[in-house]
Amino acid sequence: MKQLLLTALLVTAAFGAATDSLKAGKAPLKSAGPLAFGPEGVLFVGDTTGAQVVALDTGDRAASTATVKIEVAGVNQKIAAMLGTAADQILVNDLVVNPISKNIYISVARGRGPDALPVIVKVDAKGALSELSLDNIKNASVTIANAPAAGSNNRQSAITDLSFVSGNVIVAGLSNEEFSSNLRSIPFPFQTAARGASIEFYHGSHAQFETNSPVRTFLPFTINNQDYILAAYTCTPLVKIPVSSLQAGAKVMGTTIAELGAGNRPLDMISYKKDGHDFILMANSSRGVMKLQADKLETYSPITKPVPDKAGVPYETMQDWTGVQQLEKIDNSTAVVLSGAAGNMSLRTMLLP
Amino acid sequence: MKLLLVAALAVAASAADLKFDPATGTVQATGVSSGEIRVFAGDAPDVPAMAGATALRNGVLTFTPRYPLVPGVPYRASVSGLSIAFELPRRATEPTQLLRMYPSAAALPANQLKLYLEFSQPMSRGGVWSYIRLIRDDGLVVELPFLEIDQELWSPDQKRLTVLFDPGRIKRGVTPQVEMGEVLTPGRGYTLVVGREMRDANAQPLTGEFHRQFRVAPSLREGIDPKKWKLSAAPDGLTVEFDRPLDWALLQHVLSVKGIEGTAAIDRDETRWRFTPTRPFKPGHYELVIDMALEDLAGNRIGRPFDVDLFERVSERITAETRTLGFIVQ
Repeated sequence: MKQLLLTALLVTAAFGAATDSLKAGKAPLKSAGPLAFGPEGVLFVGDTTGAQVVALDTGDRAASTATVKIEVAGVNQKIAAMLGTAADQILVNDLVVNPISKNIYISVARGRGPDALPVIVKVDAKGALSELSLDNIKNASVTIANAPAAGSNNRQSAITDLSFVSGNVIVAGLSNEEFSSNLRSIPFPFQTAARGASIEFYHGSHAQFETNSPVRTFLPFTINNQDYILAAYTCTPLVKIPVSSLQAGAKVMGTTIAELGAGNRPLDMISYKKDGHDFILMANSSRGVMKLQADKLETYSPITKPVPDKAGVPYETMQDWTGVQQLEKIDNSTAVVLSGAAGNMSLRTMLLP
Repeated sequence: MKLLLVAALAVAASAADLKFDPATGTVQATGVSSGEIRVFAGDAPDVPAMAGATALRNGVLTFTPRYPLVPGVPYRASVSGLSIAFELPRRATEPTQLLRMYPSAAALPANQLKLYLEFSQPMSRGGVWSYIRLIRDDGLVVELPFLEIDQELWSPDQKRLTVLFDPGRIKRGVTPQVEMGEVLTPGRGYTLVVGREMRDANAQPLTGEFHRQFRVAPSLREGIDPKKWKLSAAPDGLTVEFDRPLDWALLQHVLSVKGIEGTAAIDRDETRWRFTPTRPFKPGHYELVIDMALEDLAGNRIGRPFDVDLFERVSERITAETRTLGFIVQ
């Protein structure tokens, strides 16, 4: 009993630690881009315009283990209608799943002009839409050190993707430095954000080292009991970077373990386990959805020489997964997918292959 | 007094009415004391009600939308069996013009790195790539010439778009360049075409289709050397003539005269920079300060070509952030 009580107290203390640093008020977001869930329903929002990461307490902590099955046709039209505008006047930027409640959160720009407003939309297990109020919400923010100057071309890529790994928000993007591709590891609760590590890798199909190409999408992944970031870039090299190497000011050499094809942008990546094997599913701009065999990634030889096209980790292209723009894992059997053209997008769950 | 009271009662008892009030941007129901006014935006089926709140204000049930209404979007409102449709008229705005493409030069190097499109008014973000085409002089539409990134490179006011050529097809000997060929072939002519359907920030099309022709010169693979610039100074200003056209957007802010305020202008196809001091230069020594971020059309920087073959790791950072050139005003 005593032990149970102690456990309960510890849980409360841990819970308090995650959200206590957040203060109620208006969230200072200037734009809403890449999203990631942290502990206890805390949603991290990447804000490139404001060069900051904002933590929001969604208060969404009711656990659900039910199988999620949703299909929302015309989701962009529904979001636009809720925001009182037309579908061609919003931009859907990212989506994530709250690992506790399984509710889906989508970052949206209401408007496409310079005065566009940031909005976070929640989609519940029944497919019903609601807006996360940003006017009065517990929040905290941290400024991205060394972000490219406002107005410079690189500012739009100050934050290209986010993830929460072992108490840290990992932020991919560009810095204002000479070698600008950058991965920052920001402890949460927020204090200050260090300048992050510059990331370099060998791009086999470009026959050169690259230092200024931003990570387009990344995934935390454990290889041989060590935490790594698996990062995908334009023209699709897949690069592994040890999380422990992400020290402020460090210059880190990533290891290229696959070249997945030129003329392509990776859009989103998830990992899952099936029948005792690890897989990665990657959505792409022009090469469809790839399913990579991700067992024993440590056994692939680093790519350090020019390659004609593809090399490294093998994959197959999923013919049923067409037009996928955003991809997020719900559990090891199900993903939620945002797909379709700009005019008519649908949000639906799909069984993982 | 009694008559006034009767009149007031008559208003209260009159038929319920629902109307849109353009002055306040709200929907108002008179003769209805409770209920929720529901407003729907757009024509799509099965959409959620628009965000907003219904409250009694001065005895009038009033719906205030959470976001400002958008001209041209059809709205429907209903409460207690009443319903109306309304729409804000589109503002009579001047249509947006694509003013020009930079670089201005008639000939661009085959390893041209980026183009800038300058618009007269703010534009709409999202989906720009479907409107921009590059056509060779034999009519061939060049396949995927640009890096079609999601984070479209708009200036904060969204009046300038940066278009990057696919770097994989500029660097020598790399897979995309070998397989798909170079984007720009020296000796040929090209036309950049931007469709009229590209939308401005008011969701309106451009004044017309934009065409800009240019020729392609051999690639430029040498770092910038400021010692090759020609500086001429007089009390009323400094003129710097470059040995080649430089990047238009960077030229706006990478050159300055140390300690001197003034205005600068770029002309002659981005080969000349003219600085006019607020107060005339006094005779003496001055310094032109050049930010190392300066690039030419092919992305070559000071002392460092863009297309370095990085078969070895770069271990040295270029630490100096600026370079200076001295000049004398007599």
